[in-house]
Formats: sequence, C-alpha cells, structure tokens
Amino acid sequence: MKLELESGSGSILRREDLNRFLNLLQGSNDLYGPTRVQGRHEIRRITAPEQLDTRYANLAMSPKSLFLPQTETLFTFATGNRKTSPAAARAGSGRNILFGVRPCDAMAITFLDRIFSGEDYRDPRYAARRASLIVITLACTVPDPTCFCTTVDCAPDSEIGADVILFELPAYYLVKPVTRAGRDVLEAAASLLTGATRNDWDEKHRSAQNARQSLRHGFDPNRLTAKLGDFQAPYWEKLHRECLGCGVCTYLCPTCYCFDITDETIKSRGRRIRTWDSCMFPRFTQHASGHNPRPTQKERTRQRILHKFNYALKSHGRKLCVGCGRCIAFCPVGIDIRSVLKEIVES
Amino acid sequence: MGAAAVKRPATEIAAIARELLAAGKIDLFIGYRQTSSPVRTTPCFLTPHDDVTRLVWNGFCSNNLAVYLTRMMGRKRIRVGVVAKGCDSRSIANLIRENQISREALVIVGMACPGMLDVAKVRAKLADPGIEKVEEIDGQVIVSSKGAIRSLARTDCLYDGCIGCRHPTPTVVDRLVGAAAPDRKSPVLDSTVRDFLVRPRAERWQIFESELAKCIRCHACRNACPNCYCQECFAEQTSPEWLSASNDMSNTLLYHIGRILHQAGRCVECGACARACPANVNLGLFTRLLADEVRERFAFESGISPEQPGLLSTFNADDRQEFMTEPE
Amino acid sequence: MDKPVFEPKIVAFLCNWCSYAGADLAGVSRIQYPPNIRVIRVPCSGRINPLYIVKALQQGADGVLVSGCHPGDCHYISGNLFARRKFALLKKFLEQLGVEPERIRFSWVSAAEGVRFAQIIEKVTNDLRTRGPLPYFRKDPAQWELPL
Repeated sequence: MKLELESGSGSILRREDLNRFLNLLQGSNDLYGPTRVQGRHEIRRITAPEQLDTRYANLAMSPKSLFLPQTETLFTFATGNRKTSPAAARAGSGRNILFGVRPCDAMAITFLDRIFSGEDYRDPRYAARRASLIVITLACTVPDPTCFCTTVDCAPDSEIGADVILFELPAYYLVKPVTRAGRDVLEAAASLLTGATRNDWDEKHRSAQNARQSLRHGFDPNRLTAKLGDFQAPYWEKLHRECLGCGVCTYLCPTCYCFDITDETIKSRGRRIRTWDSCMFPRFTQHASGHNPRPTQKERTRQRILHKFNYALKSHGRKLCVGCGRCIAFCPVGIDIRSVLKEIVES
Repeated sequence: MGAAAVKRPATEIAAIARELLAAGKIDLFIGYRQTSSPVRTTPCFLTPHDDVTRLVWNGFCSNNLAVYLTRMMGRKRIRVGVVAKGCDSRSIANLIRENQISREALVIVGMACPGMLDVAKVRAKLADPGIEKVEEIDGQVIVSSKGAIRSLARTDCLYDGCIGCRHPTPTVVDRLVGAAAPDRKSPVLDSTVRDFLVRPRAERWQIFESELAKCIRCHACRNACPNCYCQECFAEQTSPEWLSASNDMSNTLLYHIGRILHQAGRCVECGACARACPANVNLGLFTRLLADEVRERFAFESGISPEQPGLLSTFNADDRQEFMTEPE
Repeated sequence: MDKPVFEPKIVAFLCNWCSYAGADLAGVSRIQYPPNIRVIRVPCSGRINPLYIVKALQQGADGVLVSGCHPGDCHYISGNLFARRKFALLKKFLEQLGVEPERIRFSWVSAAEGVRFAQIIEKVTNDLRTRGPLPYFRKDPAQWELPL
C-alpha cells in the first residue's frame, strides 16, 4: 500500500522543463528515451530535445533489448589461434539515463535481474549494462485496453525497478527518488525541482486510482493458480489452435528471457552467440535424435502458460508477467492471454 | 417470399457452418470471431456442438485462415470448412496444387471481399487512438472514439495490399457469400512499389536495408504465410547452415531474400506476412516486387486454379533470356 | 605509383556436361583468361538453388557466374530450362532491391566453346574489377562486437 510520506518527500518538475531536467541528469553520459519512429514509440539514444515524445501508453518494443540484446557475442575465436577472446563487458561511460520506461517494464527488468544477475549466476555483460543505466520510470495515467498490470501484481504507479519515478499530473511531474542511485543523480537537476506538497500527492493518488479503475482484469488471478495444476486438463486441446507458433509474444514480452547459444563462423573466424529463443518454436525442445518432447503447438502453448503463471510462481514467487499487453496487441492472430486464462479459470 | 430478408454475411456464414457441422459433412469449421477489441478478430475453430453464432464478418477479418489447413488436414484425415476471402482462396488453390491439402476434404465458404481495414490508418485519422466501437455501413466506417463519432470513407482505410487486390472474389469456392465482384485487370495499384522502383539503385538498397534493420528474426512472417509449410525451414537448417540465428544484417538479408524467393510464383499477395510483423518492417513492398515481375515476365498469377501448373515447375521454350551474359 | 588493381573473387557454378567441359577445353587449348573464378561443378544448371548464389555473395564472393548448356542441349533434357526461370526472377529481384545486376551473371556455354568461355570470364572479371568489392551482404566479423 501507499508509503507514509513525510512532507518534503518528492519534488515538482514543470512539464516544460522535462528536456532540461533529463539533460542535467545525463551530464556527459548518454540519454536513452522514447521517440516516435514511424508511428510507434521506441527507446532510442536521444541527441536532440525534439526527439523526445512521451505521448504513448507504452513502447512498442520492451526495453529488455537494452540489457538482453537479441544477439550477444560471448566470445570470438579463430582457427590456428588456440585462444578465445571474450567479448568485452562494456561498462559504458559512467551512468547513462534510461527514461520513459513504464512501471510494468521496470518491474520486468527486476525479473531479468533475478535470472542474469542473481544469486546463482551473474552475467558480467548484463550486470555491466544494468549498472550503467539509471532507470527513470514514467508512471501511467491512461492505460491501453490491452494493459492488465493490476491483474498480475503490478500497478500503473508501481515504483519497483525504478531509480527515479515521474508521475504525470496535468500541469507538472511529481518526481520521486526510489533508490540511493536515483537520489544521487537527481542532485544534478536540483535547480529545476521545487518541493511537493500533500496536495500534489493527493492528486497523484487520484490519478493513479483512475488509471487502475480503467484496467480490465479479464480473469480472476486468485482462482488461476489452483486451476493450473492439471497438466492433462482437456482445455489444453483447444487453447492452442489459433496459435501460429510465431514467437512474437515471447520476443516482445519484457519478462521472457529464453535464449539459444550457437556458433557463427565465416571462413577461419567465428563467434559464439547468445540469441533470443522462444519456447513457441518447435526447435526449442528438438533433440538431436529427432525426438521432440513438445511436438505440437498444444504442448508448447501449455508450457508457456504454465511457465509464466505456475512454475515461475513456485520457483521465484512471482508470475512471469507484468501485464504490459504486448502479446495481446501484437499477436498476429489476435490471441488474448486474458481470455485464455479466463477460459482456464472457468473450466 | 415477400420482402426478401437480406442476411448479414455473418449470419449466413453461421448458418452454413451449422448446416455442415450438423450434417456431418465437416469435422471442423474455421471462421472469425470478435475479440474484446472492436478492431480485432481472431480465428474461430468450431466443432459440432460449438456455438456458431460467435462467427463474425467485418473489415477486421484480415487473417489468412488457409495457414491452418496444412496443420489441421495434413496428418489427420479430417474434413474442414473454412471462410476464405479472395486472397485466402488463392492460398487454398495453391496448397491444393502443391498437394498439401485435399480438395475433397474441404468446404470453402468464399467471401466477396470489400478489402480489409488497416487499423493503423483508421487510428491515424482520429484525434485519440482509443476506439470503442466500429460500424461499417454503406462504404463508410463509423468510429466511436472517446465520445466523438467519426465517419471515414472505407476506401481511405484499406490495407495497401487490399487496394492493389486483383481478385477480391474467391477463385476456388463451394459456397459464395455476397455478390461476386469482378476481377481487376488493371487495379488501382498502391504507389509505393512504383515510387520505390524509380529511385536510384543505391537508394533502393538503402531503403531495403533500413527496413530490414528493424527485423528481430522472430519469423512471424513465415509462420503467418500459408505457403510456408515446410517441416524444416531453410532458416533453421543446420546442414547446410544457410543462416545464423543472429540478427546481423547479413543473416537478416539472406533470410528475407530466401523467403521471398521461395515464394516466387506462389505468393498470392495476401499481406499476412506484413501484418504479422511486430517490428513494422514494410514486407509488402518487397514481396510485391517479385509478384509483379512474375506477372510481367511470365503472365502468371498464383492461386487462380488448383489445376494450373506451378511457375517454376514448368517452362516455355521461348522464355525470355535477355539477362544472359554474352561474350561481347 | 601504380594503385593495386582490385581482384574480384568470382564463384562460378558450371554444369558438368557443357560449361565445365567448355572451361576444361579452354584450359587444354591454353587459352588465357583471368584466374579470378572459383569453380563449383554441378551436374546441371537446374541443380542451382538460387540461395547458393546469394550465399556465395554473403561468404565473400564479389560476383557469381552460373553457366549451363544452351537451351535444347541440356544433358538432362530440360534442367537448364527450369533454371532459366529461376535465374530470371533471382536476377530481377536482386536488381530491383538495388544489387548491381553485373554481379550476378548467367551464361550458356557448350562443351565445344572454350574460347567463348574464356571471353565471358574476361568480360565479367574486367567489369567486376571496376566495381570493387561487394559493399553489402557480407558477413563482417568487425561487426561482432557492437556497442550498446
């Protein structure tokens, strides 16, 4: 629930000062922010203030590619040369700013952290990229019809994953540091910030409440877990039929992280690469013998849903979904995960 | 009969589905049903006893349902009824020609297609992208968005590929719903292909590369295409290895050039690949280049009849060979 | 100071019965032609998967030549006639996309045409010498360590 706030917590930033604010934060480092590219909003490196465009419910592609690129070189090698050369972990120059991430995507980044920079394993390149980016979340005011964050324990004003969070109010932004790193970086822009009052926070709460109320649940999350226990349930026969197995849902999902490791060679040189992979592809579980334990779309669809809404809950204590809705918006055949889960709950 | 009841197409489709399923003529019916969004439909699979009234027909029924036929009918000997627009029926004709599905096991419910609506084009004409309700009446698309109601001309909102459609009426069909529209020999071609071809060569390559730079190698284009039914796609072969999994330009280019070349003489220009792409790659431009050349050079179109010969499995002794290299 | 002349790498797919024999005839006749071609012998021009040509360009070829029997003379009767259709479409498609058409060549050379073979190689090589290395398609290891 809402934190008890002492007066003076949080600041006001005038809307027209946003560009200057970000420039002060970025300093001599890079700024990555939302810009309009052919009618969609994507994160790009911002080099001119005109590029910045915050008129979106959410970005088309999730920001996971900044931390987990589609293709990553692990090491390079050459015949005749008995060494392998590990790809440099680029720490980048100091702290770069990543602005415009929505609360769902910011929360998703913390899920990826658990996998790639967690207790069991630490990917040095992932960790370096993570360490070099300050995440400035832009909280939501008007969700898309495909958003359903509140159904999966996220919220339009969730602060999880943010170093700094901006709440958008009609006349200004309410700026709040969430982590120590966020607090430190905000000092560079102190000249643009004035103290927030109780009223400002009340307005923020109202706005967040409006946003929450406009979100459609689509299914009852409390009844889902119990229902997902049945691996052989008859509804699996029907729920996969529309699915093309194209993998768009997994590639766009901010929490999906499955990968493949292969070698790419040209003449005497090569590199080992980690690329995005998808459990929706038949190849994902193809054995060298030719056997495939998930031979049809039925098994693969079942796996995806169970992984996200059952197994992840058991392994990590969280559903592997933040309700960003990209899988719904971009599925070529219009599959809506909320309807699928509703059918399971009501079966 | 009196005042003849003009059935809405959706009602007619539902009636046909009900009849076929009840009479045991088919095991499965594939059509469209609405999702929670007024601008999205999704494929609807019906077996006997399923509710046929879910079936809809509107300007958002863009998916090419033929893509499901090879999977549904391939191994199992089931009979399928399927809703097919002009382009979908040409996919079906091509699949029959290539011996992938059986004509006898199909009941094709053909729709005389007025062209499908591009949601991006509709949204671009609204002050707010949120759409609450859509009605299509008399060539107009009535859109309710944030309390305001706008009436758009249907022809202004069609997909580029639909604007250039030569065969809106199904070429192979069992039951036709709606009045057959005549084929268009000289269609209103969208200008994007023409505009592209008049550019200087270096610029064309620049455009091609910059479009494909967006590709994330998800292969949705391939999965949405009814013609891409290979058990093992060349993109995934390891022996020989045509492509690496990386989204380097070199691999991405080879993937798309390969896929489009594999469609030579087979592509029916339905646009499913372009619509499936999550990265907004302008695939339609490049697929249409090859389809136009096939038409121009060989006077050939895919999917007109299941009996027609395949383009690359035939030849003419006098095929043009002006491109051959001579010594002088 | 003489600038070093760029020597293109050309992959030549030659059909066994006609073009390869023609190339062989050029050899035994001691006809000189540029040494830039790397020959891959195939049973018939109809055997050529268009992707071989694209793949050759990706792997480092600056140009590709495919040569087969004259139409009507194919050892397998009609292989080259099927090939002709594939080649026409491949060449036109790539040309439309902006690839220089002179980098992808097709020819008919019979087993008796040693001179003709040499002339075609001479022509193709000289042309490619002026064009420089293939500027696109190539797999480039320098690209393998990209920044954020």
